[in-house]
Parts: sequence; C-alpha cells; structure tokens
Amino acid sequence: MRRIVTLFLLFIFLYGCTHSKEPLELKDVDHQTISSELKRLSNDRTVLVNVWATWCKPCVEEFDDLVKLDSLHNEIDLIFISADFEKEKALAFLNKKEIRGLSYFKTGDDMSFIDSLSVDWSGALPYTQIIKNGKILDQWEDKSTLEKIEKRLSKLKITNP
Amino acid sequence: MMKIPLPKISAILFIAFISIAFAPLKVTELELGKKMPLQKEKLILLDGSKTTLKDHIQENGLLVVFSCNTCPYVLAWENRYNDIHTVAKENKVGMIVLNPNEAQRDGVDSMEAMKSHAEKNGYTFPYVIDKDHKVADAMGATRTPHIFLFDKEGVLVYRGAIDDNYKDKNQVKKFWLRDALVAIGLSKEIPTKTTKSLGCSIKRV
Repeated sequence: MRRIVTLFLLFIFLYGCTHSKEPLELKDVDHQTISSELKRLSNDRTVLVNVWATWCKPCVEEFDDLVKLDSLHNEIDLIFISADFEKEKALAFLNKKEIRGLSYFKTGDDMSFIDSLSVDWSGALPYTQIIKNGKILDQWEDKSTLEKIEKRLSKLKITNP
Repeated sequence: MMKIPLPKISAILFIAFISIAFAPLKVTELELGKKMPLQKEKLILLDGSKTTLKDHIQENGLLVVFSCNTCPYVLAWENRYNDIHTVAKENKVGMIVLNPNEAQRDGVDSMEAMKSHAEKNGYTFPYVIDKDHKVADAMGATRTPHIFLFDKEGVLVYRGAIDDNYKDKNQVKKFWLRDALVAIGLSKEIPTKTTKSLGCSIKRV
C-alpha cells in the first residue's frame, strides 16, 4: 500500500513538474495594441522582445539560444512576436519548441507595426529589443547568440527583483 | 608628441563607451538627399559579365532594388517587379535588381539559382550579384526587398517599400514606389519619401 501511495505521489510530483507552466497562448496584436501590451509586460521588468517568423532562417537559428537565455537569466523575461503569414505555422513551431505562456502574432499593417515597436527598426527580421517600462534600452536587427545577448545585458547592468 | 589632457581622454573614452553601449542598429540606411554611392562598383550579370550602377542610370535616374531568390516577402511582391520596370521606363528611370545575399551564394542565392529564378519569373530587368554586399553596405540596405530610388542628379529621393500590400497586388491602397517614379517623370515633389516594410535580413558574410 505504501508503495502505491509513494508511486502516486511521485506521479503527482512529476506531472506537476511538466505541467506547472501555463499553456501556450498565441495572441493577435496589431500596431494599436502592441505598445500597451509591451508596456504592461515590462512594468518594472526587463523584457527581451524578439520578432521572428518560421520562414526567417536566422530567426529559427537563434530561437534556441533565446529560450536558453530566458532559462538562465531570471532578471529578464522573453516575449516572442511572430511575423508569420499563417498563424498555424507559428503555433506549430512554438508547440514543437515547447514554448508556454503568452506569445504574440502580428496582424494588420506592417509599417505602422514596425514604427510602434521602434522608429529605428527598418523592418528586417530577426529584430530584438530589450525594454523596461515600455522604453527601449537596446535593440538590434542581426542574428543573436546567447553570448552576444549576455554581453549586451551585462553592459546594461540589468537587474530585476 | 602632443599631450592630450586627462579630462579630454576621459571625455573621449566616455563618448566611445556610450556610442558602443547604446549603438544604434547595425546598418544605417542611406539618408534622403545623399548621392548614389559606388556607381562604378563592378556588379556581376548572370552571364558572368560585369556591369555597374552607372551603366543603368537613365535620363531621370535609377531604381535600385535589393532582392533575392527565396525570401517570402520577395516572392509575394515580385509579381509587381515587371510592372514597376514598365513605370520606370515610362518615366525614363533605369532599374536594376541586386542580390546581396553573399552568405547564401553557395546555395539558394547562387548565380545558377538566380538565373533560373529570373527566367521563371520573366524578369525584364537586369538581376545582378552584389558581390560581398558592397553596394548593400554602402546604401545601408537591411532587407529584401528594399528599394532605393535616385533622381537625375543621382540623389536618393525615395527609400523603403514597393507598396502597402505584399499579399495582394489588387488590394494595394498606397502605391509608394509607382507614385515616386511618376513624380520623378513629372519633375514633381515625391509624395511619400520613406516607408518601411518587413523583410528578410540581408545574409551578409
């Protein structure tokens, strides 16, 4: 009997470990809603925002490094914005990568969307920015690596509670 | 040897640090009003012969398009390339399309791949290799497709996107590039001078 109880508790524990995070939510955003969403998320938190697409080779190549960065650094949160043409493709990719929680899917006009995120962004993908309280601390258009972002973070001396 | 006072060195180092720490985006797009750079730089035509931007300048200027073979935004927009070439010709503006993706030159952006892509899509304009993305770097091109339009003085007068709808050419509301070409032809002010679009980053080496 004790063995059964132990096994049951172990099962509950393991289930809890694998299902502790909220499910994936891929929310539509456009140029009118993205700013307020990011301001809310970066309220007293430093957030790394990455605009990506499944058709963008460097985006796919850097994806795992961004996820790793997120797991290694508590002082930073990670938010993905997909610029895919089809939502299903983005959803399938995020599920394959076991991404949980909130993620965004770009809709509406491209130029207004680009300017809503940053007037300095030309529109090339991938695009990444580090923000806090809705303000851009750093941004870049080229492919990231874990090492490169860690260097940028240490330069910015980012700490979160 | 000239001695620089310590406070001055500190100031220089501080400015250097600030510019590194808060460096803007890697590539800076050519500003409006600037002259066409690298007009005599050798570009490679798809038969292997050489050409330059200068060779394609017409009476009212030159349209430079950075493009490639596989970017979904190029594939979506390129059903308008030949129409744009027609409008450019009508307004006495030359047109040349450059492939700057040097990092993919052994693969999807090879000369052979460019040849078959141009044939398949019936390109009516020269599609050339921008070796080591020299022209793309000089113009600060960041993505494909990325448009740079120079007037008869060789000055940049329009930069950005083709129009406001990559998905469907029949649903376009703002014909930015076409309007700019027509304005050049009529020696009128260009209505919208810079626009943005999403696109694939240029694959630099």
